Amino acid sequence: MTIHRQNEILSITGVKELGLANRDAFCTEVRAALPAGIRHIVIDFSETDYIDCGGLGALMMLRKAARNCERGISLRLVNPTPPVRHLLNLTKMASLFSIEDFVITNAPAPRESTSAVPAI
Amino acid sequence: MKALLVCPAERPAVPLLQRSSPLVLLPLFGRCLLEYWLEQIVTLGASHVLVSAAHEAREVRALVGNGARWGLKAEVIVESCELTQTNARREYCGQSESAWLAAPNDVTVLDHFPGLPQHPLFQSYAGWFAALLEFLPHAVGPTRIGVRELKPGVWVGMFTRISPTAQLRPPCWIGERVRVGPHSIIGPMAIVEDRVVVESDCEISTSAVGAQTFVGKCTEVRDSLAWGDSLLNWRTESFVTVPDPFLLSALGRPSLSLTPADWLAQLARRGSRSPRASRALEQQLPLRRDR
Repeated sequence: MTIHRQNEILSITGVKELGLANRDAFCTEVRAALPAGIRHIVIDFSETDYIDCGGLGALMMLRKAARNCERGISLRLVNPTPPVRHLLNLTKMASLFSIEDFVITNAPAPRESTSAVPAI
Repeated sequence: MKALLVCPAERPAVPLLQRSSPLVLLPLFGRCLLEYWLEQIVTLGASHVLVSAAHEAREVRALVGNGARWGLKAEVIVESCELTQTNARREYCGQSESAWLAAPNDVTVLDHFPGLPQHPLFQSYAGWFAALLEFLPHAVGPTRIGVRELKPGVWVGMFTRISPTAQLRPPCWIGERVRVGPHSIIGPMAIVEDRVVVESDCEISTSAVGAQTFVGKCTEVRDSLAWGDSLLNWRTESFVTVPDPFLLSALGRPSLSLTPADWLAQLARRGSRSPRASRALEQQLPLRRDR
């Protein structure tokens, strides 16, 4: 997993799997990389081939932490693979996240995403 | 009058459907395709049916038997590969055409429901689901016992328990021995096969849930085929094995493929796992009957 900071954006890429086994490490690493000034978290799931309830729980924890932050950090999930999409839809969690399909660039992200959740 | 039913051997477009059983034995509305066709052949006037099967002959023979269940004389013919209609006619119907049903009913490849040749089942998952929806109103044939149409477009099988707070939206089919929990929504365009457990607050729409599947609390199955822990989106054909059994999992395995020898082997294994049997085995003493 690679965490890259660009201005106000924290990009997380190379997440191979997100499950019970590594969710604590994932949360710890992401929280540690959240210094003042970060306003957007973008997690790229294009390389994720496994996610389970532990991974979903980690995302929920991250979402809660982002919402509780005074700065109001937005959390976006991009390029989810079929396993991620299926599980988010199955658990009705797709509506809780902003899910987008695009390549991560260094362009600043919009404050509030209005994209619709694509149906799988 | 004779008729020949050709079981499709393999259909690479729908590997998930043939993972656990042959395509013609896949449960569709509680029965398999071969059963629907045997009933159809009887109504067309056939008294002798030949069933051509390639790799799955043993399972097909276990279902068909001698055909007495349908009032037929039935034979299962083992072929090395799936016969085309032309080859089958040449090989079987050539010499005594008068003894056979008139074409095209003399030879039928079982890749569609009776009366729905325009809806092939095994060319794609989307086609399969469309065929299921098309056949849904006809699934309650005259020989089906216990299926009730609770309200227009909502069919429910025997021994099924549905919570009073659950919503059933037509068209939908709920098979036998299904449990539907409180506040769950089934339909529209949902097919829930036999012995499925749907927990509370679930939503199942434009989807088919395979037999003996557990659908966990608060889950949403949409545009999908859910078979045990396998979840496939029939629109995009993307597939995932759900890792968390409390979301989606298989409740059991179909026992159709078990032969008497398999049953005996299972029984022996169970016996050998009991403490008494284990002790006896350890002591290398013969088991004594309990009085």
